[in-house]
Amino acid sequence: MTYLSYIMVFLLVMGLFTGVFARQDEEKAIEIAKSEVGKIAVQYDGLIGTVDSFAQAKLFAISGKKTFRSLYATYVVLGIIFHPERWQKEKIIPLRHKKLIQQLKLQPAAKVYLSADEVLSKEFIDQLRELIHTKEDLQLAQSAYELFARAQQLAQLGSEFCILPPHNELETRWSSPFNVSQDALPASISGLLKSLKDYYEDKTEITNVQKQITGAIVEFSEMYSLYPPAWRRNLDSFYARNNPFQITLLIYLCAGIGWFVFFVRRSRVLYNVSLTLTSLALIVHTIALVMRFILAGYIPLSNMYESLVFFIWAIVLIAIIAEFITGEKRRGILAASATLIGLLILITLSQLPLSFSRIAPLRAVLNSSWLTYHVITLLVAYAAFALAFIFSLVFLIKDFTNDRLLRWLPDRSLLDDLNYRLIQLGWPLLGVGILTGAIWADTVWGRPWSWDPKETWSLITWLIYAGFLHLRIIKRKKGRILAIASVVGFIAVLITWFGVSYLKIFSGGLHTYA
Amino acid sequence: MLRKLTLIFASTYTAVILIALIVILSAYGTLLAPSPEKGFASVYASPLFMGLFFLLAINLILCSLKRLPAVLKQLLFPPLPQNSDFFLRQSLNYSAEIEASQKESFLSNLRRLFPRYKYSDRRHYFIKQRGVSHRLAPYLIHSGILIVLGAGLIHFVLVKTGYIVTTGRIVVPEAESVNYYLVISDSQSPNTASPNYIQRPLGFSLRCLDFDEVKYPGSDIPQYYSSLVSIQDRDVNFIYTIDMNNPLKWRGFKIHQVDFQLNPTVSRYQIEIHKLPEFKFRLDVSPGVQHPLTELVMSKSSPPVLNITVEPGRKIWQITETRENNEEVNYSGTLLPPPGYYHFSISRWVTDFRRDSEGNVYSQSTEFNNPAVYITLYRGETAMYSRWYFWRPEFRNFMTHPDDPFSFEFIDFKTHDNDLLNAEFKLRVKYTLTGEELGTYWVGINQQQKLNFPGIDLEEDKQISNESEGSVKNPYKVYLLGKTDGYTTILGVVRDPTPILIFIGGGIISLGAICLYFVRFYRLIAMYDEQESRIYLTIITSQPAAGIKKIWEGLLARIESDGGKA
Repeated sequence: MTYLSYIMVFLLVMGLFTGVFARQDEEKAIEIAKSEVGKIAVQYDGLIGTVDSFAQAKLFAISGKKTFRSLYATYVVLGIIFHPERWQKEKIIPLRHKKLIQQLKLQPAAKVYLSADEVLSKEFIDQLRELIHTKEDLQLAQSAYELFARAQQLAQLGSEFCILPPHNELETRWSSPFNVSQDALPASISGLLKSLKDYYEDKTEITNVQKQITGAIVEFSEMYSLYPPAWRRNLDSFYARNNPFQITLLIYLCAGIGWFVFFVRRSRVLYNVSLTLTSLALIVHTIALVMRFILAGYIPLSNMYESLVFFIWAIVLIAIIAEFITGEKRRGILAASATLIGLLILITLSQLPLSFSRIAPLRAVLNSSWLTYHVITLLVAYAAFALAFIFSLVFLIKDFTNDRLLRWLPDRSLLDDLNYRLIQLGWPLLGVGILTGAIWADTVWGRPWSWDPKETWSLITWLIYAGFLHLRIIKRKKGRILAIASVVGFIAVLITWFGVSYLKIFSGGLHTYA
Repeated sequence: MLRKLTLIFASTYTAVILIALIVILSAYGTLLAPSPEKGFASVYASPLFMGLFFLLAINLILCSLKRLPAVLKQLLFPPLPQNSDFFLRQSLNYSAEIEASQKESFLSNLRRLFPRYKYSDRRHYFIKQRGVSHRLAPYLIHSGILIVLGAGLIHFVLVKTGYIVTTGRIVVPEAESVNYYLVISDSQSPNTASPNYIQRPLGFSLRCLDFDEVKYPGSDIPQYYSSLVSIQDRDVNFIYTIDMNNPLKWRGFKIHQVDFQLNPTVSRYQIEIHKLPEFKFRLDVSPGVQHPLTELVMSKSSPPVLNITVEPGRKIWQITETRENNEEVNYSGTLLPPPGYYHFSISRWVTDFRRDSEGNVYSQSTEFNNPAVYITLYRGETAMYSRWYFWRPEFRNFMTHPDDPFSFEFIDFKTHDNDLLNAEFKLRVKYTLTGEELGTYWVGINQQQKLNFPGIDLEEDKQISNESEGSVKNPYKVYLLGKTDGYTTILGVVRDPTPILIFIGGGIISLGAICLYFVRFYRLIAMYDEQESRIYLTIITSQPAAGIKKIWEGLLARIESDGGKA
């Protein structure tokens, strides 16, 4: 045999071994997914969720992803906790900062994955130490610290696995079984921990783990009367595994295709099918919002993700109601536009990291009923303005191009009328939204108006739409000028909503969370 | 000249131009300003900006004055058509002949349907108006805006006179009182007391009984902050909880929660009060402050009205029990070591202790420059407190907690094969209240170590309590569970009567907008001409919507059933 043959045989054996290992992982991940282990309650980051949601959050904090090598997050995270000897050697921690990669002399230069053992080794820590404290490049120092923090998080995950509820209903802090005396643990719980450890070390079957879970949950429920009931744990687990807004996205996608076909080949059947699909998407969307409300414990309007999801819901609801009360010639326009807007936003949201979409405890300042009145009125107003903007844009495109290809779109007088009516709906709601915000600000900040950038831009938006209405009602203007005003108004809405929060040209202000 | 000016200012175009200028200047303020305060100073408080609002106010008044009389006249005295042509010109019109025999009953039916009636020149007029608020809505909106602008003007004048306070602060540590607030002349955020502050009298005394920073369980995310304050104003004395969404309104001031600081000079004791077998309370107390006992852990019957005071620095407590006959009985004693079984564990350690600006602890190197261990002390399964302890003698006094029931001394450590995760730590533990040494232990990470400290057995506790029942003996036992740093609460102080005007104005604007867009105006006019024996009918509306047609069709059906023939 030549050396080449030896190398070939070695590679083949390694390949088979790796393949078997990978397949074992996949099979075990499926077994874990099918078991009830993901439905055990855990307290983490100020929430009481399940092992499934805990695992997603922690895997994201460590790896920046929802899965690792397509393996189910719960399987990976439990592996880190119960089989650290293996998982601390897995290259799971990403490093994207090119300069840091160069400084640490890692290969390849573009993006590397490191294991916790590598990052926490003495030589590596020595290198990181200097980089963390470098004053010349703060971004480099930040990336070095992030790398260290990810590795530390992985190494200490057991301490954060707080599945032990307190003994007393007045206590609120749960503990990790790794932080309490093993002797003090009830037999069913230590049995569960042992079975999980054995399972990850290939010493037992999943059926044994499953048996222990049932006993442990009974024990937890007896220990703590406030232990989450089965329906709530199932809900949390379902939400973490499936993200119902992704299911909603799929139905909106079907509805969007339906509407496109309807506008090209107009028929009553296509209209009914598309409207049914949009209505179905709205129902699923409503269920998803209710689920999030139950799990978070507050109306989901507290951050950008939640407000956008609610905005889509509002816009589709307005459109569907309008479909039922509007005349024959307007059929489909509103629902199709709302579906399109909803689809675009949901696709964008689905691409954002988990940190943007995950359920988090409500900020102290937002713990007020005014949040609901203030945000709902504003979002419904924004929904009306967004639809008006779409119609104005189509109006202007038709007005400037007069393209025969666009004949399938509604005619200009109809678009002009819809633009006006939607702004008629949105403008008073925007006013009520500003007023409720002022009352809330007076309570929290002691003054109703602070000329904060978000407040100022909401006033600007209100004034632009007031100008629009004056042109329409008093000056009897129609058509192009109002379409332009509607587009300008919606640009102001976008600045108020996103620009002030994300563009650096605006000063900070008080609405940092919005 | 004046007339010309009036005409210019009564124009809608002038309003649109003024709105556009305000929009541009407002937007400029948000773009230019590095902070809202500077934006406010340079743009929103500038004479130009205020001048534009002043011109807008004049414009609104003149626009309204120009149009309102005609609108009111139309609503109060609707013009009566002089001939049938008026009806025939309208898009919705109806005409029918009425038989002479049915005339009287027909007209009396019309009188019932139409509230207004007039007879003139052998013609009977019947008028019905609905949705008058829709026609008045623009004036409601304009008057609302004028009220808001007027509130702004009053605010500006009162700020100049010094009556209005918008950035006042009360900075008060727990267990202390103040009778003044602080203001600064510049617009910097006055979060801390400094020599630049001016003291102004509050006119009453505010005492911070307690500051609560509640975090979501198992995290460092704040759930809410609140200050329990007591107000002493002449003969009035009351307790109030100020939190972020619940300000205190008193004597024209609005006092709201703004911020807080940790205050190591003030201590807070975590205590547990037993009056076994019936009651058990647990709460944090500030020394020297009387606390009502409300945080009940265990109760077998209705709890007594109790107040407790722990004397600063002496570990002596005094309980006042108010009995049903309003008799007050005082008990006192010393704080006891807490009962129960104790153990501790080390959940983290660092080789080179470092804390960042957000309070996160990390190791700045793998050198053993400043090793520290993070110890959590448990009573039963409940974590009592967690602290960092330092190995180097020069750092051991850093972040000490002298009133903790147990003190730890981090004496030594060893690692196995240079593996930082596989280390052991030598700790000496003392019971602080007596100075008794409880032992020296070698402990690994996440390893539970039971303390060789029996405490007082709960059964024994119960027995003692039973013995004292019915006698004059002290039935209470107060255990010191731990001690934390106290807080200084920072409250915002505002004295500004104008927001109510802004809310009234805003409410009128919203009401006007709702009337304008959600109320339907229509005027039904019917004319019976005696010469022609015909009835003419029309509906005048600004919203030719489907709803109006329904009203119209309903009315025609009613008239035809009453005898009208089209």
